[in-house]
Amino acid sequence: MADNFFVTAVVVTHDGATWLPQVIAALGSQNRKIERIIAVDTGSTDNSLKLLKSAGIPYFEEDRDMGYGDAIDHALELTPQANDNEWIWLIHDDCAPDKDALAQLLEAVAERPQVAIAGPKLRGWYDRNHLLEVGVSIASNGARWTGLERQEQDQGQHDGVREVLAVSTAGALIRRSVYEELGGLDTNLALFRDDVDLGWRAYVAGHSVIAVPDAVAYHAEASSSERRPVDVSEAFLHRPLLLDRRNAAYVLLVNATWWTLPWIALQLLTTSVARAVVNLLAKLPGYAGDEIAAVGLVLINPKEIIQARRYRKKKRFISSRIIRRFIPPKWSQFRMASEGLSSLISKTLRPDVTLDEIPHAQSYSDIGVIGDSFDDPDLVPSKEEPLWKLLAKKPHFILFFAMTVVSVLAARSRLGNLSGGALAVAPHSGLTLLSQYAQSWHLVGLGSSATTPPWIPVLGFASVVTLFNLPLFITLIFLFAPILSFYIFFRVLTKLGSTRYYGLIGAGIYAFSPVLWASINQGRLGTVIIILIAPSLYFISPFTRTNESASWRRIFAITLLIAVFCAFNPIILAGWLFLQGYRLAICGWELRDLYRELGIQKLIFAPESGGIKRRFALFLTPWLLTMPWSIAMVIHPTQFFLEPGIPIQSGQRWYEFFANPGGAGAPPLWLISPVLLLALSAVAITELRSASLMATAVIAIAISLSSFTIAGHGSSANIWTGPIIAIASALVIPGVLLYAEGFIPTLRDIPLGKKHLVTGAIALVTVFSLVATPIWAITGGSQSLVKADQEQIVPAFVTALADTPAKPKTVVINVIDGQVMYEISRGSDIQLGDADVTVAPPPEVAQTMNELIAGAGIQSSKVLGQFGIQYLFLKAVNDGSLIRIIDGSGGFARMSSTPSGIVWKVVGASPRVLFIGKDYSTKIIPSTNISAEGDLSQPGVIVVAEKYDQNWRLLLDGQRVPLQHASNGLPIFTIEHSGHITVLHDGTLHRSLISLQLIVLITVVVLSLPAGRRKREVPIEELV
Amino acid sequence: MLKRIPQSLHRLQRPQRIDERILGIAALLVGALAISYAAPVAQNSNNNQSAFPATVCPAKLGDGTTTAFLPKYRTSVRHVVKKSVSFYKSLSALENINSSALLVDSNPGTTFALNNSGGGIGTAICEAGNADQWFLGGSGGLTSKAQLDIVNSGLSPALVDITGYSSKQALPVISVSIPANSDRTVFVDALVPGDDSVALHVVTRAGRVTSFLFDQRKKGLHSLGSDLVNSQLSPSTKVVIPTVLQSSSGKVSSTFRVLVPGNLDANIKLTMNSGDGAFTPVGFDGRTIAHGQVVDIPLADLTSTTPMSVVVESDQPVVASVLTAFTGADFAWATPVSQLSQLTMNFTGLSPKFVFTGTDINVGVKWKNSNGKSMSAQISGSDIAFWNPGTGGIRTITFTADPKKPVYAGTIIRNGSGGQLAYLPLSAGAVLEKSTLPIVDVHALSR
Repeated sequence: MADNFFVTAVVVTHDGATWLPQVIAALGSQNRKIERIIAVDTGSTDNSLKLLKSAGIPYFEEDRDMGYGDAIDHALELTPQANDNEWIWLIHDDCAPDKDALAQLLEAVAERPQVAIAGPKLRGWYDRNHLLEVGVSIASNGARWTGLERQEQDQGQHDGVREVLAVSTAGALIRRSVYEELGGLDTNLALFRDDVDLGWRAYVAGHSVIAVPDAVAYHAEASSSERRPVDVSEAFLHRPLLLDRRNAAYVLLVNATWWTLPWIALQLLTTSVARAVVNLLAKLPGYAGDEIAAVGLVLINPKEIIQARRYRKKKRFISSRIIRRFIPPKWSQFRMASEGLSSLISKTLRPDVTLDEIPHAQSYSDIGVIGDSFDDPDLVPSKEEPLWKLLAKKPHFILFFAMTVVSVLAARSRLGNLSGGALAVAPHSGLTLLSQYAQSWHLVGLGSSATTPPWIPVLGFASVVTLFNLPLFITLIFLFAPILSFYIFFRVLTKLGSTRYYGLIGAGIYAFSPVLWASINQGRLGTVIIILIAPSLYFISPFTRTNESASWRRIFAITLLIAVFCAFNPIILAGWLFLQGYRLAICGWELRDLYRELGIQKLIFAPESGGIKRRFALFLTPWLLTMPWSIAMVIHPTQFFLEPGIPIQSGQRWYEFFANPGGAGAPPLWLISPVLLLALSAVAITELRSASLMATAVIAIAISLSSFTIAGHGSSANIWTGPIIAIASALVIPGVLLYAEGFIPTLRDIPLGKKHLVTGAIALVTVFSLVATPIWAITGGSQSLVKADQEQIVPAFVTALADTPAKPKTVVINVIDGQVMYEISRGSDIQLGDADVTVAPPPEVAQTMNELIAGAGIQSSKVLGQFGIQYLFLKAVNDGSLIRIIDGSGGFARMSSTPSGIVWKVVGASPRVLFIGKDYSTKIIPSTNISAEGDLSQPGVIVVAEKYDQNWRLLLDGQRVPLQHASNGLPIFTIEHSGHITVLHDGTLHRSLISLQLIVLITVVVLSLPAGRRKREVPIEELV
Repeated sequence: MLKRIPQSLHRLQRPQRIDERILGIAALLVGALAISYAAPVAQNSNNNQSAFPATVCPAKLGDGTTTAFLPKYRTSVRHVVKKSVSFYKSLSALENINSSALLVDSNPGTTFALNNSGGGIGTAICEAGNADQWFLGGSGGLTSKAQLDIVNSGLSPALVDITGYSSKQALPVISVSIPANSDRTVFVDALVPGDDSVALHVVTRAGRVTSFLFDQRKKGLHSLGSDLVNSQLSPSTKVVIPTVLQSSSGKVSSTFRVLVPGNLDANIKLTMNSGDGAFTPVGFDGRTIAHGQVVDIPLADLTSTTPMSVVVESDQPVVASVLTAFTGADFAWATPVSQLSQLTMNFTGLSPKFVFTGTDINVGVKWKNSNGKSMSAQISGSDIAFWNPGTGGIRTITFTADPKKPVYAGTIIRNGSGGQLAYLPLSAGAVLEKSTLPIVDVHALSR
């Protein structure tokens, strides 16, 4: 079709010899002839010039650091305008237009006189179906926005001419008059984003931009994919990403309306930081630096932006807001980002699945629109199988359903806010646990500076699943623990090669193991978590494999997982340190000769030391990741044997012998777990001997440990060995089942003997266990220590008073199994995590309580009052003698007496922080949970009714006042003059250790994550 | 990662190797079990502690003096009704008590108070706070100046219910509140006006309270003596009053006072033991006592060369006492006593006479005489036995009795001229209280 357009194609080359031949050929083969072609070479060092010369394209040379816009301008200066209908066609040296591209572009602009710029649909250079761009825009955070998915294939889904904010300069057809009217490409944008800027300026000048999908060009994106150096003068450090990000910020800041600039600047900054973090996590520090530096480069040169805005203002006819419709909405960006992330994760998790393996619909029959037999002349009636047969073929569906039913029925008294047994009441928000972890002083009892265990923040973070609704999260864990453990173990077994039937049996043994049900019923949160994640041990297999050849990424991934294990169960940390310490010692012993030969410095860098270095990382990193808690473990090794939560008594000896941790709520002994039998039988199998011996040894350790009583976490009980038994179970079940799959069929071929007997016995016990345990679980087993929505022990009014400025404390006395017990409450029952930081009260208080209960406590109220204990609550209302003793002890005034308990007010009790003036006048210093502040009008003494700790600080007008230890055990400060005081607990060391822990955590996470690739490292075929 | 085991490996190892391994594993498990049995048993459950509660001695009542006989010198004491609640160490074993009661810190010895008023003397065991005390003594008549002293040695206000019993009926309960660390005196004639036969039941509702009954009688300006009436614990079907002085001279008269607090009349029997033998006075073998009424029965025509003990047996719980009156000189209330066990007291400057009663008396005595010399003796007998430490007086004295052979003991204290009389039941003022050692435990705050 003849037209009256004059087209000048401007080719800019810069080391593009790789693609230039095809580009030249494409220009030469256009269906619509190009009137004029001119080339500008910006200092190519390859044979680009030769190619241009041989093609007969007139060209001229420019400096190597010349920008793209400058090159175009120079070219146009040398080529006078042919007529008013001249169009310039910008061609990159890595962009080959399809032979019909120009014709399609001209046809589109011919029908739309308002259009000043038109661009083709850009597809990949190597993957010619890969859709790169159909117009382009810019997001409010500076991201280049094409609206396309990653690796989106062109199936015509974006066809149809439409208005866009801009088109890439690769293949862009621009009306020359408009180009010159707009002042061309902004020379401040030497490369990248100049296209968006031009489109934006065209719109505000009253023109429009269209994408013409019928016109196709193939683009190699050589500069942005880092296939050639970026030499333009504006490219600081010659870093493409830095230039791209800087230019993106520039485009937004110079074109957007002025009142949106602060918001845009903020978005640019936050997005840059976020991207920098992601790049750091991907181990791409260079890119991270680019992100931050780009914003900095723009912001430190406001003059450039002001001048550019002034220039645009002159050319503007329409408000900048006209382009709003092209700015992608936030949700689109979020959706695209999340899809990209999930795609990345799934690719990481399933790297073996290639695109070719993903089934594609090849025909209508493939996607089920019509059947394969559509064309068959004879319709054969389909033979429907009965439901039971279908279900029999898929027994896992039935068992999963049955497990769900059993889980729900067994948990019918555990649907709500759980507490009881080892599980304390959970705070309403998981964020509370995070703040608790950061605090150096815990309001538990008379105060504690003990280190919070790391399972607290882990649980707090994990509760994000339920939007930080912690009670709900814990309820869900306890509700779904059986079905989850069943599913996880089933997946592990099938991954290991088990058939579905044996996988189900193994998963059943694991999910109905006594240790899981005992843990659920006793509120052993740590052990439940361990049971859920223990099967993952098979995928890191640190117990059986040597890790000398493992990648560092794998090593650090293992340490992360082990750290989570250890966080929930210090006994695992003890076992891990012992095991890895032992192996480290063996490694060291094996390298002794090399050490003598090379010395320590050379040995460290020698390839032979790879194993010991990895062992060392395995040994030390989990310990570092669980700091500062793990430091306390080493200082007080008995704490290794304390389960998270409130200590409660568990079973001993024979219970452990049968892999049942025992205790209240545990399955009875007659529900024999087959775990021990499996472990014993596995010893006869060569391949399983190690696992068998280890499992048996672990059970033996459990038997021994369970008989020792240990004090801590505010109580005492025998050592809970549930985690050890869980690991023994996880170790032994898969191996035996995998063996049994092959072994059992062979029994038919051998004479009846002891093999049949042993196999039959194990099968019998297993079947009995699998049938009887669920029945027990939904009957007697459902009456657990853990219950939902239990009534609070501390009276409600005491809870309400706890928030007053005096921050009163309450002694709660109860008689359990004839034993008088007491604990000091801050207004509520023991909360989740409190037990783990509980420490013994000062000896003065313990002695006073002994005297009070003995009836000799004539000074009890005085001492308790000094420690800020304002109330005494006796839960055991049936103990008349105790009531009479307290009534008769003096200093305790009855406040209330109800069936749920009796409350006495301690006469003359101190507030949390009290000032006693020189004239003996007293003043309550209002106190928060953290600190207390107030103004003093005279010298005197400040008494802090908390346990003495050397980190108590008092600042008088900003000056530190020395801490004293009063004779009654309280921390006091002598005030020399009037002024403003601040009382606080100094947590500098605690915060430092947590900061160190965070640094270690981030480092290990980064090291364990898959490394990102720089674009130049990605094969270009993968990109375009 | 475990791999699927190939079929070729489905053969067991050689039998002898299997046996060795099984033996090894068996040894491992047996060893573990052995360790578990050898592990030390937890000692954390139900540990007991014992302590003597602090005791209270009455303030100076009447117009005379009151002295506390502390078990030893440098005993921690403090006065009730003082601003300070700090204890101080006594400078001697005798502590003079003025207008405020004396709180004696916990110790294994027993303190008693000796009151000297109105020409008479009275003694009372200094007791720990009691929630339930019975006083069978005193009078609401015109000649009586009896008063009930209620001491609140605690640091919080106390509330006490007092039920008076007259010769006709139980009177309405009167509630009395006592401020912290103070005492309050209530006159008996205000509680049971106009009745000579009085019993008081003092119940502590809240607070650490110890009550004392001081009985003083006058006829015009002429003093008829005074006494501290020792309290009794809860009513019982067997009541033993260890010491009742009797004389053949006729100067001494005794009156038996009894109250059946329950809702049924009681049938009682009195047995009197003396050095001359045991007997039941006429009319006291199966005598019916109406319930709810204080009954005074003169023990007429009793002659004995030795002090006597009185054993009351009843089919209903009763409280009882015996009033001994020296005509026109002094009087004393003999009150029941609990079974003697281990008891240490201090009698510095006194020469008491000890009376023991029981079926099989076997009591060990260790004492220090006035020269500080340690001495010991074994007292044995049946029904009743008497013991006098001899001249020179005693300081501290410790009695030890076999708890399987119940023995009840009391003391007769008379002044030099013999005109003043007081009975002191030998019972511990503060019983060694055993309690479970409380443990600080988070279970108190969890379900």
